[in-house]
Amino acid sequence: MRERAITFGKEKNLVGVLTEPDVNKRLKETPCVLMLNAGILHHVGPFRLHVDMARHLAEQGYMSFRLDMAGIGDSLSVKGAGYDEDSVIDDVGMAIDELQRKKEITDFVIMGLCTGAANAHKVAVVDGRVKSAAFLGGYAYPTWRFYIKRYLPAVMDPLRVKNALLRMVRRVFGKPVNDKQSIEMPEDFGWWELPAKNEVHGDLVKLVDRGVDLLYIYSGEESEVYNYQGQFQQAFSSIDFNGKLKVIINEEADHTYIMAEDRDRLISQLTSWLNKCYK
Amino acid sequence: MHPFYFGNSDKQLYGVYNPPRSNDLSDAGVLLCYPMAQEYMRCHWANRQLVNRLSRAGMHCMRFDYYGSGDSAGMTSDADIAQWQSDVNTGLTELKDISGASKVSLVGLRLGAAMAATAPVKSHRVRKLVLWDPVVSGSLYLDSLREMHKSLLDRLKLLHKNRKQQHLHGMEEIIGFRCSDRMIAGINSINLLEITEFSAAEIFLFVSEQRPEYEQLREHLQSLGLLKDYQIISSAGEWNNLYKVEDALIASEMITIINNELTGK
Repeated sequence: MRERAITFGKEKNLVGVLTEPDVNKRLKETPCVLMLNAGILHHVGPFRLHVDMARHLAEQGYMSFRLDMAGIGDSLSVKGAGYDEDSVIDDVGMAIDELQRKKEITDFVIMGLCTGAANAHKVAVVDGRVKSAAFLGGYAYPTWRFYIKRYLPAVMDPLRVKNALLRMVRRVFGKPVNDKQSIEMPEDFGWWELPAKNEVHGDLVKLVDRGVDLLYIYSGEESEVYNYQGQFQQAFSSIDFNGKLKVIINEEADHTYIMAEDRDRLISQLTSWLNKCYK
Repeated sequence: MHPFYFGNSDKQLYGVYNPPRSNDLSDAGVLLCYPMAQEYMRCHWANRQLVNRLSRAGMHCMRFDYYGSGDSAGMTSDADIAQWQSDVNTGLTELKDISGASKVSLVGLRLGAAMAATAPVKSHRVRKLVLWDPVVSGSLYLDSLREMHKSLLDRLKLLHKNRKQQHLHGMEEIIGFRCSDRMIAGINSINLLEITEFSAAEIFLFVSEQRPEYEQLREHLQSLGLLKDYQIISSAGEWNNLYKVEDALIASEMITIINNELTGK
C-alpha cells in the first residue's frame, strides 16, 4: 500500500491523501473512492475513520482519496474566509480531474458522513463520473410509519404520559425538572437544512437513470429522522431503484461512529457493498 | 502549505510545512506537537490557525502526525509513547532540513506538550518550548479519559440498552481509540514533575484554566530556573467534558499569546 499527499486545484490550495493498493492487489477497472469531509473535521475523518477505511479498501484492491474542501483541514480557502459550501462541487470536480489525469481513473465512488453526505449527494447529481455513492447519516424523510413508530410508544405508555405531564406542571410552576431515568443528551441533531423532498426526488430519479449505485447507512443516533428499515424506499415509493439501492441501519452506533467496533462494522459494510458493485 | 510524507519508509509520518509568508529570510522554525486521540480532532483547526499566524509573522512552521495517528502510517494500536517522542525528533530534523531554519522551537498541546517536553531533541538546541494545557500526569490523564469513556458507554446504552464494550486482548479502547498495553503503560509513566531535564532552556506554560497540576508544574519549572512565563488564558478547553469531545477548539487569545511569544512581538 502506498500513500501520497497531493496538492491540487486551480490555485493549488486543496489537499488530499491518495491511498493506492499494492500493484499485485490492485483491481482493474475499479473506481476510486472519494471521501469528503465530515462537517468541518479534516480528511482524517471522525476518529480516524477515513484513514482506516482507505487502508482497508487498499487491502481489498481499491484506490481512495480523502480530501479537504477549501477552508477545511489542510486545504486553504482562496476566498480568504473559511469553508464555503458553494465551492464543494468545484473542489470535488478538481479532485476528480486530478485523479483522472494522474491515474487514468474513469469512475468514482463518492462517500460522505453528515454534511459530507449532503455534499456527496450534490456532487453525485451533477458529476457524471460518479458511478456510486455512499451516504452515511444522509438525507431522510418521514413517512406515516415513521411518525407512528416515533410517537406511539410515548402516547401508549402511562408512565411516560404521567412523567411528561408532571414535567409540564413543574415547568409551569418554575420548579426544577429532575428526571433520574435518563442521562442528559444534547439536543443538537440538526446537522443541516434538509432540501425539499421533491427536489431530492428529482435528484434520485437522475441518479437512477444514470445507473448510480446508492448506499444509505443510518446510525441509531439518527433515529430522530430515520427509525425503520424500508423508510427510505417508502418515502420515495414512486421511484424504481432497479436494485441499485441499499439501506442499512446500525442501531447501536452514534452519528460519528465513536466506538471502534462500530467503525469496523461500517467499514465492512461499505466494503461488502463495493465488492457487490465491482467485483 | 506543503503536505508530504517523511521519515523511515516503514514508518512514514505525515507533515504539513508552511513557509514564512513574509519577504524576510527567516532562520526561525516551529514544530507543533499534537494531542492524542479525540483531542487531536478537536485541536486541528486551532493548530492550523496558530501556524497561519506564525508563518505570516515570518516563521517556518511544521505540523505533523505521530506514527499510528492522523495520516501517518500505522494503526492506532501500533502507537506508543517512546515512538512518539522519537517522532518529535524526526519532525524537528525534517523541519530544519526542508526549511534551513537553525533556531527551532516546539509548541505542544495536551499530550503533545508532554511529548515536546520529553523528546530526545538535545542535539537540536531547541530555543523555546511552549506547553499549552499540558498533560502533567499521565495517570491523571488516563483517569479522566476512562471516566469520559464510561460516560460515553452509558450514553450509547440509550441507543441500544445491551451495548457492551468490546474487549480485545492487549488493548484498551478509550473514547474510540484502541490503545495497546504498551501505549497505556507509556502514558502512565508520564510525570512532568519528575523531569529535571527538559527539551528547551526557556519554557512557557500557557493554560486555559487553573488546575492543581498546572500550579505544581509552574513551581517545578520555576525551581529549575526554566520557566519564562506562565499565563492563564481563559479559552474553551474543557478537556474533561464528554459533550465537547467533537467540538473544535476555538482559542484565539491563546494563539495570539503564543504567536507573540515566539515571534517576539
